[in-house]
Amino acid sequence: MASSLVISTTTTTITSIATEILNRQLSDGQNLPPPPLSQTWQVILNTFIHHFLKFLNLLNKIPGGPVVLRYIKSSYQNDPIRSLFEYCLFIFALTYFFTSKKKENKSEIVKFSSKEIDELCNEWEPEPLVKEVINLQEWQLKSIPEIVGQNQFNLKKIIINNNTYNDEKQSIKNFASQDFLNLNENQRIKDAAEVEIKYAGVGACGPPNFYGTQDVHVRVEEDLAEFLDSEQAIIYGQDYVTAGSVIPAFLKRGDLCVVDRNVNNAVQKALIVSRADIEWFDHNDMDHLNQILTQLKPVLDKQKPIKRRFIVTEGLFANSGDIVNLPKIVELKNKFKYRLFLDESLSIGTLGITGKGVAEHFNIPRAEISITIGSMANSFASSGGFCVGVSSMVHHQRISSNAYVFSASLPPYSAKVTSQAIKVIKENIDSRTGQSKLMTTLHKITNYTYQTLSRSSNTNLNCYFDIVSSPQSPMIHLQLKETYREKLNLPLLYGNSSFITTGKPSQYPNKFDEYFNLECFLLQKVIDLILTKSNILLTRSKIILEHEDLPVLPPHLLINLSASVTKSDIDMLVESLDAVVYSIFKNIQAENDLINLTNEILNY
Amino acid sequence: MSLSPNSRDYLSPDINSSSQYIRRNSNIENINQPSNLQSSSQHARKNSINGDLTPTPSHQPAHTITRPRRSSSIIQHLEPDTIDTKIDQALNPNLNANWVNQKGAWLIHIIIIIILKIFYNFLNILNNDWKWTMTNLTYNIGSYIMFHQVKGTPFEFNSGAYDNLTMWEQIDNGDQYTPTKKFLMIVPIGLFLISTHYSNYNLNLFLLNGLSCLCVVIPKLAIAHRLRVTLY
Repeated sequence: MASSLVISTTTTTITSIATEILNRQLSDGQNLPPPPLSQTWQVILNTFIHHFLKFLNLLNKIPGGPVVLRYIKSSYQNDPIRSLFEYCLFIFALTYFFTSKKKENKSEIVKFSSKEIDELCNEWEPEPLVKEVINLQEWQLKSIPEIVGQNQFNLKKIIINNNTYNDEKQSIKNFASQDFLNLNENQRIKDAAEVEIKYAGVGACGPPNFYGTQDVHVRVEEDLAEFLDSEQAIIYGQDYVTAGSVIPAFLKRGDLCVVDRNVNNAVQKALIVSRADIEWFDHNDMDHLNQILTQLKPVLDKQKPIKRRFIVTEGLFANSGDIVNLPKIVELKNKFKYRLFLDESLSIGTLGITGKGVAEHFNIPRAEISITIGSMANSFASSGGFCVGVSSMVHHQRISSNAYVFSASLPPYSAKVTSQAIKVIKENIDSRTGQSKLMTTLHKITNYTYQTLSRSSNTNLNCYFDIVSSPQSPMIHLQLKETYREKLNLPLLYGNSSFITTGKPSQYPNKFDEYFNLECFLLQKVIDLILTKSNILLTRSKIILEHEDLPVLPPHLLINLSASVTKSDIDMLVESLDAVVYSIFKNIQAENDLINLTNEILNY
Repeated sequence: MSLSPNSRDYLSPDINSSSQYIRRNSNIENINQPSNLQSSSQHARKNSINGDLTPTPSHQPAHTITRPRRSSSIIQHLEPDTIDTKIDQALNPNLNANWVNQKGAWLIHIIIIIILKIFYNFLNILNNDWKWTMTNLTYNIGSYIMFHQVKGTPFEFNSGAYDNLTMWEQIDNGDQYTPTKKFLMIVPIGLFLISTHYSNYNLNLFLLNGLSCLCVVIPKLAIAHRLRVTLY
């Protein structure tokens, strides 16, 4: 009934319009121009509607049809445009419903037949998990000293390259250890470790959040926080992973880091893992940092929402031994509103009057440094890493820092040793000057060493080596003089600069570099000769070129001082170093001489 | 506008950096042999092609200058994800978008609509037309905010790999015409048809319902995928 009603109304309108047109044509005959186009259009439209409605009426005959028809009828309401909109939407919904699934990344997916897959599998040869050591690199393994007995300043016996060095009369002076305060030899620390091992065993048996936290862990966190004048501390099972876990916990895609060009390997890897955008500033170059921050400012001002920004640098640089220009960095980060991330692995326990690191050295409150990470494996004579800062920052790490959540906790005796080491550093503080006696000893001997090394009487040493580290650093970096390196045609830097120039680490690890190998070997010759001649064990910077993502500085000869070094040791060291340097370098004056060392490398 | 990770092309093959080793080490093909290095002028002290492997390559920050400028047009496409981003997206299941595929998540749309209608039924100041319109409007605004307004994920598990994508774009990894997307598309259309019907085709209410429906339908279209409209 209803449908026929619709039809009847429309048919009447159609007929009325048609009759009107016909009437006009009939009445005015040939005098009139042909009817306007709109009228013709209307006729066509109406005819279409007529047929459309006819089809709609058929709906009545299928089950459920009357309901739809009733809906359509009541929705028409004399407003065709509105109905059209609804019909279009309905039809669109239907087409959307019946369109088949479309893969987003279809173009990137390569389809292989099963035969091709088999072929590819057969062709595939797995790369070795560890690259084979090539002939030219074997000496590096052999040159690692093996210490018999306790690792301390006065060594009884060491083995390098199957040669045993032990002198009955005189001990071997160890200038290779990074135990700057020589706490390894401290009886109280040994006792503390022993008691803790007897009480709790050697392992913590789980991640910190899962049965891995014992009383000593909580104590050492409190001790570290108190020692470094910060709110809270968190400890990690290993120092290398500390940066790699802390940085990604706070930085992600779109966040910005402004980083010193010379940061150590752990921080490099941490930055890569974090996926943050990186801008590099030249090593300790505050003008360059200022320039970069100024250039970034207009971009960052428009940024919405505001992302995290960090300045990342090291306290005492592991690669070059110099000290960060902290006062200027703090000034810049406050001016441009950045946070500061500082790796104090080497500076805590070596710098500052009570060993509180670079912040104390420059008399800057620890609160200025948002995140401080450090290592317990150097001056604290223990193992593991830590991070100190405000409570909320530390608390965030307890559930979102990968190494803390998923990795085994620090062995309890290591934690105990750190607490004890902090106690030892703190307890002999001179009440008048506020200086720790242990630190004063270290600083005095460091000072004396720099004076002795830079004396003009060491003609040979001055001729071939530059001291590149800061005069406060107990880790003294000696680098071959640039003029001498030029004579040997050694490059200014090794590795690649892809990370610096493109912001993305190179796809391939650095290849074996023969010049780097030769330069390292040259330094090893110095180490070996001074060990045979004067019973002094030095070391050199041991960088694995393949793992470095930043340009690598030339290898350095390292003299690691410790609190138990005496002035006479230094005098002897400098004297014999001067002689040894002469006897080795007098024969190597051109690139050819250097390359001729290759045979010696192979026969090492 | 922002330092988005996509603004830097991580995919571009890094020819310079890899070739610099080849050049430097070209004369030591077989390094296991005793050295055949020659003292020669081929080996330059600056061991890279661009000379950038020097202590200070230039006093220019590399990226602020090379970072491409954003176009100023109102409508623009997001740049395609880099390989790094895709790897990060694949590392963990996207918990933010995956729950939408559950049957319960489908049902909850219907339930929410019914609850909304019941809620508005209690507001006696509204007549029936307005009750339906309000139900439709509330659902559309809510789903717009949820699916098309908020970007990224509430919890961090992909190093920000989804930070630029709305939830609709994250669903099914951006595949189109999947069952869930079909369902989510049909719900607002159906609700619109029903609510105009019961609001007795009042023209103003019809406009309100229609526009709000379009607001949630258009962003769901395949052509609107990864499209950003910036009005200010």
